[in-house]
Amino acid sequence: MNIPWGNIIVILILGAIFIVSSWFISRKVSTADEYISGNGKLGVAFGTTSLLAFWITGNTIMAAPEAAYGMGVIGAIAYSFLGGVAVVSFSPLGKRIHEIIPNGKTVGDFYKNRFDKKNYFFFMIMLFFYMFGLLMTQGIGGGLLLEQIFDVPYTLAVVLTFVIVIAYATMGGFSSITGIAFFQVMLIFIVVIVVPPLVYFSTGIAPVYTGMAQFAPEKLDLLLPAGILFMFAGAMFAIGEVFMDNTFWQRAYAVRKDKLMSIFGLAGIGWFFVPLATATLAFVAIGTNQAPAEVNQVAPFIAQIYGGNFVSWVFLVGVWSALASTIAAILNALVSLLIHDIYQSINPRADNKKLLRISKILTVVIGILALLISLPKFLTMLQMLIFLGVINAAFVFPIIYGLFWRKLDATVAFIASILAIVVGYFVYFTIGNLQGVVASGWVSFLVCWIGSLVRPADFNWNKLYRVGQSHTSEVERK
Amino acid sequence: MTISLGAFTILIWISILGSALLMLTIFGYFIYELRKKKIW
Amino acid sequence: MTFWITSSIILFLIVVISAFGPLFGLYGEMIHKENEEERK
Repeated sequence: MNIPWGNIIVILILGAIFIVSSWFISRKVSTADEYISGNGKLGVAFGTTSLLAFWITGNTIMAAPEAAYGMGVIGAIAYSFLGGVAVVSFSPLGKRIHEIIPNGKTVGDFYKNRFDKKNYFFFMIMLFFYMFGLLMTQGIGGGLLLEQIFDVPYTLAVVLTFVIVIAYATMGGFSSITGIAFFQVMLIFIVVIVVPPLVYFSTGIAPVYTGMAQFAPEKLDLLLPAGILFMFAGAMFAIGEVFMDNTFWQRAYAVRKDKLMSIFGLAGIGWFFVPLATATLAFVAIGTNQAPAEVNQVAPFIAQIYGGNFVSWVFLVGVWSALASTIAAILNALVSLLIHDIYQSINPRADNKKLLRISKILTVVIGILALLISLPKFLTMLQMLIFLGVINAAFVFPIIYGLFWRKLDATVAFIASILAIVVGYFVYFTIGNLQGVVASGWVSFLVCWIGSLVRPADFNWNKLYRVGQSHTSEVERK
Repeated sequence: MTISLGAFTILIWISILGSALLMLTIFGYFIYELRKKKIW
Repeated sequence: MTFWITSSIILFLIVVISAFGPLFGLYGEMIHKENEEERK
């Protein structure tokens, strides 16, 4: 097999740029708090792009066109809708989080203090399971993409990606990741703005449309049942993913309070439009009846046909940046959880220097672990997301009601999440995968809602308000 | 309900223009916040 | 299929109403009142 040195050099140059900028940023990171959560002063530019970086990943560039290729126009709209709606729905929660847990650091802070121990442990186990699964999908997705479209051997692709990400994520932690995410997201934007028009200028929109009507008229149908189910059941797992994922909680704590709604609003718009723009490339594949070997490669496949070498390099840069930023964000979110929710409760008196050192070691260890697990390529991305979606959906209502409603009782929340996961997976394996997500969401809702009315608690919000005040009181948050 | 050619065209261009506008907005904020030193 | 589509749409609406409800005073609370400090 010929190794495409040109493509590898592009990745190496980009990687070097990321590492150098990370080193530059890391000079101002001196405390463990900054390493895991920044300092609560993230502005609109970096706040929005760090949220965008999470979703605008391989997921967007691979899974959105895949949905469009399989379900047509409604698939593209549904995929964009589910992501956009999820981030926007988190904005009132983010506002409430600032209000009620002003000095929190992770989602664990909320779960531990709002509910009780059994909830906390169950939630943490599920969360680690989910986040590790997500990290794997990104690693595998990235490796497959580089292998199939850019001819980089799979193992080399995975190793290269992880080594570079581990290097820059370790250096400056959260600040580095959010800073670099800005530039990564800008690169992706350029891809999204340049590639689809280039393709459509050379094919024309009307020929694509008539081609679709000829080859696959059902894919122009806006009321395709599979597409509609994907739209709303998908919204359920995307919302669950966002609400549960520590990546979003970290960012909710890290952004400026007065800018929170606009940051989440802008990010929601981005989660809507960027996948939609890449998904439109799949229409060209349908309309011109050209099928890629692997359905999730449809966007880069079309880009290469119509744009030639230059566009495929632009694509490489964008896609790889997207992957790196997501892996880095998940890695940092996992380390933050481990440090803040596990290490600090075992060893509460560890000083800053020690915490910072442990954080860096953990970043490397988890990164290498994820790299090793990603090496055997054994799953597909969208299926894994839906599989984990059953867990995500189960925690939606304990989190929403737990934040806003003092009546939600800890035991009720515990029963709701366990029952939802059990019922959800039962439906998942007997009826269908998206149906499992819907069932899980319904059980979560009914148990939480009815339980709160039958057995109302009277939670004292001050318990949450005091979290983390003792050791961060010197950090003025306004 | 089949989507019409007009709506199809609009969908494609809106997605691209929407992304472009968003990019400009974020970049504008970046410059603005850089000047005010309120990035982090 | 119709059953699952309908139930997923209803569930989606419930989630959105639950998430945005407190913002418009539908249920629960949005603002943490400092004077509750004395309650303890």
